[in-house]
Amino acid sequence: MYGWIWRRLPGPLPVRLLLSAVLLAAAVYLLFTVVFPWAESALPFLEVTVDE
Amino acid sequence: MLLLFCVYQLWWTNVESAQARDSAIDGLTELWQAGQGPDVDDRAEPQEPIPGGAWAILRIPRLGDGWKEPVLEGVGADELHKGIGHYPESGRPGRNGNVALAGHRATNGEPFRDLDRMRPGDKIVLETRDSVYTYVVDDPWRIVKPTQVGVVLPVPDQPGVAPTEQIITLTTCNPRWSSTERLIVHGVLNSVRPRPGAVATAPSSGAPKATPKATPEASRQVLPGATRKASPGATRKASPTAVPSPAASPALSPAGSRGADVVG
Repeated sequence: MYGWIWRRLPGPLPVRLLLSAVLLAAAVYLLFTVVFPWAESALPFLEVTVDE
Repeated sequence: MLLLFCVYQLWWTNVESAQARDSAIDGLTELWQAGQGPDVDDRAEPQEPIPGGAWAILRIPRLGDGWKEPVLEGVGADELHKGIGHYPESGRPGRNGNVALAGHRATNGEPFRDLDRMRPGDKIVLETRDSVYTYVVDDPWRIVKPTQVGVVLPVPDQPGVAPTEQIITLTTCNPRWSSTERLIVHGVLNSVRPRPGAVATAPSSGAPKATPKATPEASRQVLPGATRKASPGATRKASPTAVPSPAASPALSPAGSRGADVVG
């Protein structure tokens, strides 16, 4: 998958590196702000209340 | 990906929670300095629901000298991410009944990480806009099932019984990284005093408020019955001069009929 992305990035090496970094940052941002907070709700140790 | 999730859970949620906690405490402190903020120990009947957001600051010396957490209304993920959550159907300070609070033990700030270190005699200090309530842990912590909602009843484990004293209950998960049980700590009100620096506000209900000016005699009120085993007479004195009549009469307190439907 990463090879596929790398081959499709345009420009010379420095530009490709920069674009890769931007893509990676965007992916991490999305994970931390949307995906992980959603997945977190399934974690058992966050259940701290008594509940019927 | 999984590794990144661990980084997020074990590190980033704590970073975020620390920021959210500090900003909640700062925001509440600013409101208090302006004489604003939720009037949770308002003695008016009927009780107004506490609005969402932070309404008190909790201090527990056993958990650390600088240990300080905002108390927010509600026990949803949002509230528990920022600090300690208050079961909305449970009691509130200044009235007979059970102020029930929940907090995370692992990640998301993990304020109750060391709750299993609490010992009888430890203080739990709840600071509201107008008052500082000091509770004292009376029994060793105990482990209950996650479904045992009796622990947050006005009188724990006794459905339908009208409360005659003011207590506080802390709940968190047990074991620390699991959800199979809950760890419970109970404390009994030991003293009430006006919050230092509390701004005297115009009473909205006409009832006297526990402000420094209003009740100087309450400035340092230590209650005799610190343990639950104390005689009812001793604890009835606990309904103090700083806390006028409705709190002292269980019949007026709707808390007895609520709490059975506590939902986390």
